[in-house]
Amino acid sequence: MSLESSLIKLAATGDGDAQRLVYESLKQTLHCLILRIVGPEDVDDVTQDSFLKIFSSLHSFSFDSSFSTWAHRVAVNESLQHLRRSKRRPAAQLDDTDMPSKAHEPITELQDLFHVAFERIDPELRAILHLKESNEASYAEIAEILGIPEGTVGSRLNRARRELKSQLLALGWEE
Amino acid sequence: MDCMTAKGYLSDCYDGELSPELAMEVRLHIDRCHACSAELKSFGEIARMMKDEEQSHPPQGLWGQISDRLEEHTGIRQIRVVRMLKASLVPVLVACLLISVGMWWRSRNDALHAQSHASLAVNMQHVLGQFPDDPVKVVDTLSEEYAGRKVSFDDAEKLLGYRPAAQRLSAGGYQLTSTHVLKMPCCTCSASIVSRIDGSEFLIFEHNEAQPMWFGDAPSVVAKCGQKSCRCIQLPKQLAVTWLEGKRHVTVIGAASIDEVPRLVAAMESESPAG
Repeated sequence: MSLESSLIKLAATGDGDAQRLVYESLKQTLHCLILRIVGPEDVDDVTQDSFLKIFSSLHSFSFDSSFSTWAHRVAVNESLQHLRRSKRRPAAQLDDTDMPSKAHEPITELQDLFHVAFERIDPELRAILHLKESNEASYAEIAEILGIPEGTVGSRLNRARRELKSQLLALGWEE
Repeated sequence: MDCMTAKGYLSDCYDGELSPELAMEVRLHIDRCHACSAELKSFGEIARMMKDEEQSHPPQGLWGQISDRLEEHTGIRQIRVVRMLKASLVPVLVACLLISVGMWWRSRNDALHAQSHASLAVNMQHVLGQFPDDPVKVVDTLSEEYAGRKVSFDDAEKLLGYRPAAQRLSAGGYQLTSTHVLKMPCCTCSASIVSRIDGSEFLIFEHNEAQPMWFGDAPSVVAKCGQKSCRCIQLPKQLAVTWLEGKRHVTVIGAASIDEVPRLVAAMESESPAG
């Protein structure tokens, strides 16, 4: 049995130290993913909920797939459920007066512009883009995390990239 | 291939997920199509913007909050279990008391020994806290405290009676920066600084006795790593791992992740059971 599977089995029994080690190994990557999907206001709450879900469902993890992939899937589902529950539109659409364009000033910093454009695209597209570009996940891993057929990952990524580009251009981005 | 078909494959092409034949067809189209070529270029720019994003960090107290909620969640179940066990607990408590008295008697004889170990434990917890920021300073501090000196592997073997297993790491893609021999209260031990390809460093102690006191009450678990039982300890800024290698204990401070542990254990494994 690998070190990782021993650790997971121990964490599934409720061992606090094992749970802490599992948390430490995943906290950074899951926090980044959740931040991209739900935004900065709710990221800590949803991260907390995701880890609670991970630990309470550990007994159902079958070791057929990678644990990290499974944990990412839980985090994506929690994030999307959170957005559905709160029935909120993406932050950038909620109140444009909060954005840097508040006083009709153009967004000049590329990263600010990127944030606004990114928040304007569909949460599921944000998730797939983050998994591909930041986590460098393979299409097979993305398919497993998002629960979609591997064959549709490419077309979903096409849509995500095009929508992001279109939002960037609408905000004045020059290619 | 026409534009519409090629557009459908652009992400697969950009991410290298197409078969060589299909990738070639898409590439041929892109070479003569300005629109598809510009689209593919923009994919690269988007990727760069995403990679330039700063990494977020979960707040310090997040684990405490999760842990509290986990306890709340399991609390009701635990109360039920305690009620069930209560009746059978009294004889167990009596046995524990007898064992404790025996241990107290024995511990009186070990008091002096334990005192020096306790002082070492305090020192170790303090210096290990500094390790991620300044590995060299940590080893220098320990050397000053415990009559340490920098040695070659041949000298280390003469002083310790064994060749440090850290030497074997060079075959596993790591580079040894330095080895010191320290005269600690527990035993004479070695402390080696090892660097990874990315320049990050970790510290390896090899010692004759297990040293759980070094880590205080930091959370730890014991898990199988190949044939070996490894104790993984989560320190505030780093992961430590300790296991028995032959007749001595190896302790790594600053393992990059749980995934790195089996590689380190395998790389330092001795060919003979004596180590």
